[in-house]
Amino acid sequence: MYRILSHTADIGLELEAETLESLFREAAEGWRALVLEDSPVQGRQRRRLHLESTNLEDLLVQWLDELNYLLATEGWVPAAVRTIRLNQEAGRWQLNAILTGEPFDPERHYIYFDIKGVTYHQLNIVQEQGGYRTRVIFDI
Amino acid sequence: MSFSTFNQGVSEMTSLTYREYKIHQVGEVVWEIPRTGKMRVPGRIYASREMMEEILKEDESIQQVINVATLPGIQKYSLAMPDIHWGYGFPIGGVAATDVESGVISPGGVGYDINCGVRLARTNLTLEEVRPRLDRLVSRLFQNVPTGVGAHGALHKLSKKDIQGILKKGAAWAVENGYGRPEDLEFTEENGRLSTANPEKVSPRAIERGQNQVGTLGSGNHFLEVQVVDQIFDPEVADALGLFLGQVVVMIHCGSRGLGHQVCTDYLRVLNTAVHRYQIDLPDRQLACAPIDSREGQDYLQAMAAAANFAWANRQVIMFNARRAFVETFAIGETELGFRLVYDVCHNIAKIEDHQIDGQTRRVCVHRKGATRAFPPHHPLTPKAYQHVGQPVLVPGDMGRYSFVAVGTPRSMEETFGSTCHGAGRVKSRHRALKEGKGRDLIGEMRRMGVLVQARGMRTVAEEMPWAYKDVAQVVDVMHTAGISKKVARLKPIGVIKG
Repeated sequence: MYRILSHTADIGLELEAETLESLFREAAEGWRALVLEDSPVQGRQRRRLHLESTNLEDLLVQWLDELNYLLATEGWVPAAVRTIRLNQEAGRWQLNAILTGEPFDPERHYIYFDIKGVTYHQLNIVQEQGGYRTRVIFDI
Repeated sequence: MSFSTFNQGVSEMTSLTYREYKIHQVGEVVWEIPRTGKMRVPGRIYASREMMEEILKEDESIQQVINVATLPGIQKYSLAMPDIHWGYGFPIGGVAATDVESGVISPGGVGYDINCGVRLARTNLTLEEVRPRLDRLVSRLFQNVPTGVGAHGALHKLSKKDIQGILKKGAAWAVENGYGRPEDLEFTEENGRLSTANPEKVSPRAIERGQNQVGTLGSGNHFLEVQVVDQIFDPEVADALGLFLGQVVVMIHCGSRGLGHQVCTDYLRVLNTAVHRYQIDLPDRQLACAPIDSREGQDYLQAMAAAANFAWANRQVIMFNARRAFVETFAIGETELGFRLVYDVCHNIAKIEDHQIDGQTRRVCVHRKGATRAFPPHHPLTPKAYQHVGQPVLVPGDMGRYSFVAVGTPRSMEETFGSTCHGAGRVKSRHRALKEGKGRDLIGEMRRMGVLVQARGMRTVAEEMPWAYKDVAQVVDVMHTAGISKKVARLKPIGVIKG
């Protein structure tokens, strides 16, 4: 589950999920809801992503940065996270995912927020009974 | 939070409590948080009493002033200007100077939009001359200066060599390529170029994000405004800056676009690792930093300088295209138009500067995050033409009310490492502003206020409506009262282009 946080000068997401994979999935969904709102995006193309980090928080920042990057430089908008896997090997977290989406089309897609960066502010992935939760704040 | 008052000298001073901290009023508009716990220096906030009450109610920005005071090598005070609000790690409106030998550099003390800044150009035209063709002028500006999320295409696709040139030379690259005059550089902070820039420290990804964005405004609070000088506070200084009542001027507010955002993102990651390597104890991860003389610290400073140069080239190209819009609209010659740069300041930057500390000249790294340099008269870095009046300070307000021109004073060197305020700051979240603007003819409302607005999206207009912002006059007045920057003129917007 994601919830959009709106502060005076900032915007962010509150995330909750049963597994780490679904926490990351929710983060991408929340990002999409913020940046593209209800713009209809078709999953005509696939993108494979591989990310690595020594810690989960940094991996989450990288994951969301990647969506910003795809949009900002390649003009590619994601429709959904088709598959996502997280695993830890020799102290490093690895993320493998397949996204579906399509090239940005100004006729159908509207970008509501230009996210300058995904911040580490108050970013702390907490494991509790029944799942994981965190908040992530964007600089816009 | 609680207030108590006591008498110090002639005027009544106030003390207040914030969490476990005491905050003492030490001047009419100056408040001090004494050093406690892990703080290495006290905190100092410039604000009126009313502002202080708001600041304490509003957010965590006071805690952020306290957090910044724990940074290794910080000198004198962790400072905050009256436009202080909650940022990431550092508060917006925060100023911190760290010793170059024992101190750290923190990308959080600069922000994502490296060298976000403001430039002001004057013309010989008056309101009466411009008003009849204002519609046409604003449309022409909107055509010449791309705005909005992902705005691009102000220049033909730039080659790798061009990008290297921009990152190394900043505004000088733009001038060399025909986008302006050599004298523009004289009226730009640092002459529009930080010589420490090293393009090799900028990631290919950052270059990719920025390569089509030179000459574009972007979105959010960035703007280009046609304004009129509607009040002069200091005629002598206004005259030295070439400003007169009723004069039409152009203000540009933007930064390093996607390139700068990516440099910040890249180096926050690098410096987060460095924090462990150098065993720096931080109260907030977003304060990620490294010793200034470390490899990581130097790499960031060199990349930041390159991004700063990108921003100067960006504002230089935007100004050139704005001037073109005036020439095209009014069909007049350059001499008659008299379009000249008054000054260009940056308000998100870290600079290596010399300052007096405990009676000695010390080299420090001054982080200004949402703060403007305000050097005094006779400072070697104040332009020759302004040596007798001081460096111009440009403080943008909201698109309905006004912006200000001020100048730096000797007191800014004594108290704030040559720094002052940078803007108004939001009072309503974008979400709330949007909600309140729903179903209203906002462009019509602005027109009735005497401001012609052209924007890519109605959403930006709603988010940026004047009532979403604090009154910038109060902010500028605090710094005027404190004697840090002196008010010169007030500028009222008449035409606005936005993202």
